[in-house]
Amino acid sequence: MTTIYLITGFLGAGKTTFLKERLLHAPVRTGVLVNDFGKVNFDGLQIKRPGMDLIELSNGSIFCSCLKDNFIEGLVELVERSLDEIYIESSGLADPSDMGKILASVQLRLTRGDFAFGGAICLVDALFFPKVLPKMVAVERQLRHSHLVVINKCDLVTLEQLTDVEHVITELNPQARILRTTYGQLDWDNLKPEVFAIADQETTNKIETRNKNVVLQLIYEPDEADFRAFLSAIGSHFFRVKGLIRVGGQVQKVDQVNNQIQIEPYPLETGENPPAALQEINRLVCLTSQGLESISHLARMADHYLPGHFKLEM
Amino acid sequence: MNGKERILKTLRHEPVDRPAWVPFAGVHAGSLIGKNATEMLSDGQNLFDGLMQVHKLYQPDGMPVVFDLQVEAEILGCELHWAEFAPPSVKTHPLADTQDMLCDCRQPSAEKGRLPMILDVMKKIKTAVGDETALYGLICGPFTLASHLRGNELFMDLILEEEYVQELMTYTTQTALKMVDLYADAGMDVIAVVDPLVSQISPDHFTTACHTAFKTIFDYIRAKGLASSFFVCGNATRQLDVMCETAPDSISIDENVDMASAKAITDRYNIAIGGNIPLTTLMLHGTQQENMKYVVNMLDTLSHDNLIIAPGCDMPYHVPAMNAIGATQAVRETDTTREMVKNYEAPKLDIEVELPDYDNLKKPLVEVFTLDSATCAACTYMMEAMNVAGEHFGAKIDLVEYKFTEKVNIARCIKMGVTNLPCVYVNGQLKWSSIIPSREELFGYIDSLLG
Repeated sequence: MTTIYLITGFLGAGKTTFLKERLLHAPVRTGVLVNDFGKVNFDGLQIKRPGMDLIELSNGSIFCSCLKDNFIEGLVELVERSLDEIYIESSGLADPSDMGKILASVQLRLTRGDFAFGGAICLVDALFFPKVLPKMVAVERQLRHSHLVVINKCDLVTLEQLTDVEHVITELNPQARILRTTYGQLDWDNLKPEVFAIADQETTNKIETRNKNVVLQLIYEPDEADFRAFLSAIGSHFFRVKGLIRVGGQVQKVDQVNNQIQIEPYPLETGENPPAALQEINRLVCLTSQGLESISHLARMADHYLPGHFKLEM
Repeated sequence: MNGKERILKTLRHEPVDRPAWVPFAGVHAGSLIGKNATEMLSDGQNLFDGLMQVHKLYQPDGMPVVFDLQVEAEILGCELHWAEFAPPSVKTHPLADTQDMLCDCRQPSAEKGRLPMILDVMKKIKTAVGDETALYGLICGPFTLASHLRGNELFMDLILEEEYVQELMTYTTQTALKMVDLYADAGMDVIAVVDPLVSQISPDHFTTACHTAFKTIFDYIRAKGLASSFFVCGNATRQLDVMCETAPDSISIDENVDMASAKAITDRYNIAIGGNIPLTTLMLHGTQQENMKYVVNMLDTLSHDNLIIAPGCDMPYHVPAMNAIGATQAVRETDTTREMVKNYEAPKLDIEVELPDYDNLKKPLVEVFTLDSATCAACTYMMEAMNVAGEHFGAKIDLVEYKFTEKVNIARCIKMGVTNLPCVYVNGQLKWSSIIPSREELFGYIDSLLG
């Protein structure tokens, strides 16, 4: 019997870090299905190891009709491999309200193996949660349909702020267990299959509400100050920008959520999986929920701050 | 200065030795190698051979690789009606009865529809002539593509469903951006956004429904280091200002717009202008000397900065090669050509046409004057709108189309005083010129005539 866990949480909440930690400590044979909203499956890239049971679904939400079929097929494929546990890392904008229907479809299509749903684990960024919740319907849905809520980055807030966050979460979902952590680390004994109801609602992830994503490929290494200025200039239009970029003479991981820019050295683990990561170096995925103006803005800002250094791709 | 440099300098608004020449030979290229339009637009070898022949005969500074506004529509699920001597036209509109949006997974990519063939020809042409000739990748403009997907309902949506139009335009703009990516990778120097239907909506509607879409596309093209052009056809005189505000590098117009007045507008924005040799009266039905004289006159009366000489739109299939050669000669050897044709007088069109007795009609008569509803998208949708009325009112009205491609209809246009196409006369009176009426307006008007 395979246990399936769904990991949700808004962009930057720490889903990938959490999953990496889990995989490090999982004593059993584990499969992973990673969904990244952008065209480049950056999260899959960070998790990928040789011989791993990994399926990557990019460029949309697995709960949207665009990818739903691939999602169901992917799950069927993993369950049929008779793994002990499967982790689904959904994209930050996923609305998992119809997880129940999806699991029912998986059950119908299975030709061998069996599974049980272990529950939805929702990661929450303690610092940004109060700002994000009122704006993103998906975040509310993720919380309402979770069985375990992991409040991450607790070291960045006061105890009072943390209590407020917990209070809001309990109001939204009184049944969910709540755990606190930093860097996605848990006492993994806390992770056990949950038993109450599985989400069964219409998802808000529709073709019409899909976000747009543009890939900015750097063809020459930019000046770091110019690059940072460019990121600042697009922050108000693009809620998430991420990728591996060679800047300042080394490969760095760029991760921007709204106006919070994080650029830090990214060790390319030699021998393990450098080729896949290398192929994606210098490709920055930029996500926007705004209209066409944001693409226009990106084009103009790239031209202004990084003239001749980049190539855009839809 | 070679042709490519001439085009690129013109599009950067820099001085050049003479105005650039861009013959729009789409299906017409087929006539030069004995292949029909379908054979041209669906077979890579024919397309390549035809283009090489265009390059040889018309010595272009810049040339489009494929002139077919239905490539994207076909990928997105429109069925096409293929014609022997014209590009295909859209037969079915996938969103005609639904406001659901298409899935993003339908968007164009290199392996879909006719793109493998087109991208391959682009790369081959680039290798063959791309050093000296600027290559134009033509994409279907977002508004025309929206109408391909939605059909004539789009004109009603513009009034009643603004939000839906925005969603649809966002989708079709993303299609355009995908096409820019693909054509840029295949080596195109200039991306022309061809949107004939823009002339069929008011400047206000353009601003609210289309401005952002076009601005985004032109900003995107510029950020990719390419030059851009905004092609329109029909009487776009009133739309020129709002088109300029979307900041393309150039605009191309047809004979429905007066070139000198148009250039005065585009000059104000420092945008290059291309056009507008009349396609039918001159290129198709005129003599070689008439074509030469017309082009010489253009060059003598227009300022040469920011100027590209081109046919008004895609040349009709049957344009005699000698006419396009005449135009070529006039651009390349203007002084000699001026001497050759200075005493030439054009033959008069000697066809008698009898007009209906408009005062004594038994039922309302709707006369649609088009360039050709099979080849010109603006005309297609105007005719489609009238056909809807034809089906609705049946025998209560008479409906007829006059295509300007036939000489006898040119004579009729002259006698009626028709100045812009497409347009609709009802009972001998001009009712709609260039603007396609919504179904509600059209039916309401005919109902009022029927009492």
